[in-house]
Amino acid sequence: MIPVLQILYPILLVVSFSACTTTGSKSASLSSAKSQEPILGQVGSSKFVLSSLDRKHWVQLRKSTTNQSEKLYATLAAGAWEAAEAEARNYLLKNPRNEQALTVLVIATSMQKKHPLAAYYAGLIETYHRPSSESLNARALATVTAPKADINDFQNAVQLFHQAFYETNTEIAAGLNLGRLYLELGDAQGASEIFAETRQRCKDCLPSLVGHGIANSRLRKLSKAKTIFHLVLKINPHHPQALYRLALIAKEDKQIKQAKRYLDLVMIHAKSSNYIIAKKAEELVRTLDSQSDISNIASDSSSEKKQGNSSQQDDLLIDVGIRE
Amino acid sequence: MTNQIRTITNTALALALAIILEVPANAQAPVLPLSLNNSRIPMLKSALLESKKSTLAEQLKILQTGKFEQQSQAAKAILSIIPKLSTRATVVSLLAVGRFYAGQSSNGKQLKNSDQSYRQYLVKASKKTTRYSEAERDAVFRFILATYRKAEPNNSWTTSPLSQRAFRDLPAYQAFVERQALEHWHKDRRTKSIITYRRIAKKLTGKKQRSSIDRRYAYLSEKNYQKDGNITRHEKRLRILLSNYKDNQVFGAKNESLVISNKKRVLYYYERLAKKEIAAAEKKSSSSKHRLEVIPLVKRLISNLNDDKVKIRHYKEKLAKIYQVNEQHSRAVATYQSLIPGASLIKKSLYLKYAIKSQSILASWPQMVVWSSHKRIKKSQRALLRDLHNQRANLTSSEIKWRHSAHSGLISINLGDGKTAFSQWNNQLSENNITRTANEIAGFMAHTYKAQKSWGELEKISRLAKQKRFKFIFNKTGTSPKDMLALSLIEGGNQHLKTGQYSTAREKLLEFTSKFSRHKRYEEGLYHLALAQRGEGLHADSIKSLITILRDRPSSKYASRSALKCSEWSETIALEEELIYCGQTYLKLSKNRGIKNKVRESLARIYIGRELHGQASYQLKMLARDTKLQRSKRIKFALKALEIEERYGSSVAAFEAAKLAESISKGNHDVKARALVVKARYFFETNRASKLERVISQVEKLNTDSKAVRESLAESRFYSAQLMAATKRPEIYSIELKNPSLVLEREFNHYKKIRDKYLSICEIGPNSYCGPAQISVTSIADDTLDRIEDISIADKLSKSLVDQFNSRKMKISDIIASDHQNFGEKALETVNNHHTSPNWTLQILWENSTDWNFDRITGETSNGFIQFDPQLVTVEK
Repeated sequence: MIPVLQILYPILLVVSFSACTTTGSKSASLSSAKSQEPILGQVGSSKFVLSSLDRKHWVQLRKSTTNQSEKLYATLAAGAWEAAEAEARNYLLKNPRNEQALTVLVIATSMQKKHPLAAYYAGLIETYHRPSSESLNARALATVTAPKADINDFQNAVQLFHQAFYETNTEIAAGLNLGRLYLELGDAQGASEIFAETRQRCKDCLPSLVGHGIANSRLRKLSKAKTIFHLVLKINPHHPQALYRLALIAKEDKQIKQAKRYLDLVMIHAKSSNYIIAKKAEELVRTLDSQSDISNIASDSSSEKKQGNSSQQDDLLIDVGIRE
Repeated sequence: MTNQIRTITNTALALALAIILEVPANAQAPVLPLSLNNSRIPMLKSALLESKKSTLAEQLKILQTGKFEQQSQAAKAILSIIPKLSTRATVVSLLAVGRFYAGQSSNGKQLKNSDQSYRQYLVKASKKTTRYSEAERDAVFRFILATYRKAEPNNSWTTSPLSQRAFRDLPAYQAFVERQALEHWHKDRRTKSIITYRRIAKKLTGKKQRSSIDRRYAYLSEKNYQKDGNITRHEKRLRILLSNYKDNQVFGAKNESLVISNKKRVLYYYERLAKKEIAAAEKKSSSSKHRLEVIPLVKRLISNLNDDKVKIRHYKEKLAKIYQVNEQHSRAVATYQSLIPGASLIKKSLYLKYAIKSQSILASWPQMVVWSSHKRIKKSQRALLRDLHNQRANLTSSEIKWRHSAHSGLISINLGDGKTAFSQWNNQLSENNITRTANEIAGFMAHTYKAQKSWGELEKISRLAKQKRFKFIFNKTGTSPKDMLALSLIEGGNQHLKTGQYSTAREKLLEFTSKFSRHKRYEEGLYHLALAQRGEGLHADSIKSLITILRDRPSSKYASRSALKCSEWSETIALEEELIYCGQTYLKLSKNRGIKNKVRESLARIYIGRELHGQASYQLKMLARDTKLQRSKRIKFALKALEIEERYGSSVAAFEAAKLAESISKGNHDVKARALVVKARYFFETNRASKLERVISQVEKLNTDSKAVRESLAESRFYSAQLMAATKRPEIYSIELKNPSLVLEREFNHYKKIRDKYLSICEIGPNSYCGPAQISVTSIADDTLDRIEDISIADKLSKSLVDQFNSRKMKISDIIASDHQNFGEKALETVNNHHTSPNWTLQILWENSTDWNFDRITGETSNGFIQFDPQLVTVEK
């Protein structure tokens, strides 16, 4: 992987020793040493979508730090959800209603897919303190993952994600969730706007690009969508969703062959990692095959000649991506 | 008995002393000697030599040796010649004649009765002697006295036939006076006698004889005092004597030892006087007036005792005692206090005892230890009394010591210095043996601490009592130190708790609960221990304490509030099991509807969080059934219960929950619609079309301006359409068809009926079932086209009939195909209006554009995004 994230997310942890020496105040020094470095993950996965520091760093910090608050987050950042949950509970035993501990508890339980419990503790955060991005996001996730959720629930979730997203200008997760929910509810315009904002916040992180690309596809802004998916492929040349979406766009453009080439790549690279997309790609290939007749093929071939340059560009992009 | 022994002892001592000091055995005997044995006429020889007349000598001779007649004549002869005689001869003549007439012989024997005329001759003789020498006068004096005493032995010395002027300077004269004094004495003219003695003594100043006279004087004075009881007079006499003895030459030179001796004697009388009067004055029967006489007497006696410290101390003791008896307590105390320096320990203790007795009266303070409160009066007197008690406490031990300590402390308290009192008592309790009064002190302290809510102090003294095994006695009732310790611990703990000293409060209450598990306030202790633990940040321990109450003392009055606190606090520290246990326990114990409802809400939340849906639903239904709650709240709870039952429970339970929500709603169309749709769902699942239609008709009566009503109606109609679409239709075998046109029309009509039913959903207005309905139409269209394809007409029939059929079939197929395409596109449009739920959106998108939402965040298998921002703190290097 290109170390784009490392470029996009320079370590924000700045220790201002010079400030310390000039002020001579320890508290001033500690205050300036505090830094926010968002970590973005997906439920059920211990790998993070965004994180500038690796797990080893957090494990080491967890062992070495004596600061309880720091330790809580280090455990969380190390992806040890159960341990983080236990530590948050222990911390709460000594610090009732502690917002940080409750937040860690919410995150740890959410990551373990204990969404109702996460929503419960999110509710406590909101009762004891004030709604936070984390609490709103957790409650919204609990809502959308509840069985037999209806349109009313989804619309409530939209509001919660929306509130979470605009609670701080560094919130990304709620934006991605909201964008995806918009897509699932058929609101491509809403999704496009949110993903556009999210892309800015997370400096074109993959999920935001993919979401933005899908939204533009559904809005029939195919050219823009295509550009975005190519950006995705620059980051991950075998990204199945990007390839699949490019196939759909090619299909729309009647570039059946090109579409099938994308789909072939999907089937190759997603076969083991993403069964559903591989299966859907296969189905789409069959559809394309059944729809294609000689005339279509002829028109398709003439059309392809016209689009030769762009097709070559796609190939080039793919090649570049693969090589990278 | 003791007094008797003392009296006997004193008498014996006095007697012995009297013997030693040679008190005259016969008090009537004169002290000064007066020899009257010489019967010769004084100055006779010189008188005869001086007188030239032989007649006198002759006549005198006759008077001495002649017969009576001769003597009588001689006497007359002598008398006749007296004017011619010299003075000396005259004196001699008168003495001789006087003796003759006194009836006495020349050798002084009383021969016959005297003629009273003799007195004149003796008197005249005495008067003529003034110019003679002392020896001559002494001789004359003694001769006259001897004559007189023989002639009239029983007559008074005071009527002696002589002129005293002539003899006053004679030593014998004092002896004569003494005899007069004694005569006065015997004739009960005591005062006169004593005065006479005093005069004699005065006359004898500088002479040794005065010593004896003084002694007699003192003796008689005492005797007189013993008779008349005049203390003052007697004492004054003794004092005068003592005053005289300040001059050690009062008995002449070289008689200083006699002065000392006499002084001792006088002091002896003085002391006898004092002792007697003291003894009387000490008696309660004695009058104040008498005591007021005795007091200065004793004081003056003391002033005369010089350096005899033992006696001075003795008389001061007596003086103090009299003061006390005479209720002159202030002086009594002062006197006793003055006695203390230099006294033995026993004496000191005794003096203090008496001083305390008097001072207690002055201070209006009870003699006995009284533990009730006293008026705050006479502060200075009480302060002094406290000092005295303290002094005596230091000299004594055991119970007496404790009593004084008790008094001292109580006075200190009365003077507003209770702190010092208690401090001293504390020290004493820890250092000394414990007696009953000590127990009372401890009891008083304990109860005072209790009354003052000085729990720390009560705890200390209770521990001390336990350690030294003493009791607390208060109001004659004993209290166990254990009970007091328990009280101090729980109250102390509570006090610290109130002031926010949680650590100390916890210590006290922990000890209380661990040591006094059978105490009647055990639950209170546990409850407050929990509060203290929470205050100190020991939240888990706090919860454990509360649960102990619920587990061990469920019927305690603290159980309910413990359960409430436990549930509230457990929530704040993420103890879910404890929250549930305590919340449930509170619901069992409490009758407070309002709080119970809050607990139910809390429980419902955690049950939902813990996915204990049955319990959550139960609590929500209970809340919904509470008719005292606001209707809007009840509806909210009922709908939540409904939601839970629908998602996680059975359809029957959901149906029941729906009925509950509907019963509460009373005109609220949204709620009614939510309830009805559950019913619709239930009838759909149980394939009861007619009941479903009835529900639809009920929903249709509601206001469709409401989004909820629209959704319900849409969903109900959708179910109805689905039931209709799912109705099994007979297979079509073209060869068997007798009237293909009729079948074609029937299929078409059936299609239209279902289509219209689906499409009626979109007519309601924006709802999430319009898209699904439209896509369902495409599905039905597909099926219908297939079925129509199977309908054919026999070619052998008339061409017009065949053409008509084919034309109709073509037309119907076109319509249905058109519907298929149109409603597919419409479904996609509807989806893009984002009114459709994700599952249907997914399906519609796929079917229309092979677009698939791979990264779903909805549904149970979703993988939404989570973000967190670690708050990092880098410690300064």
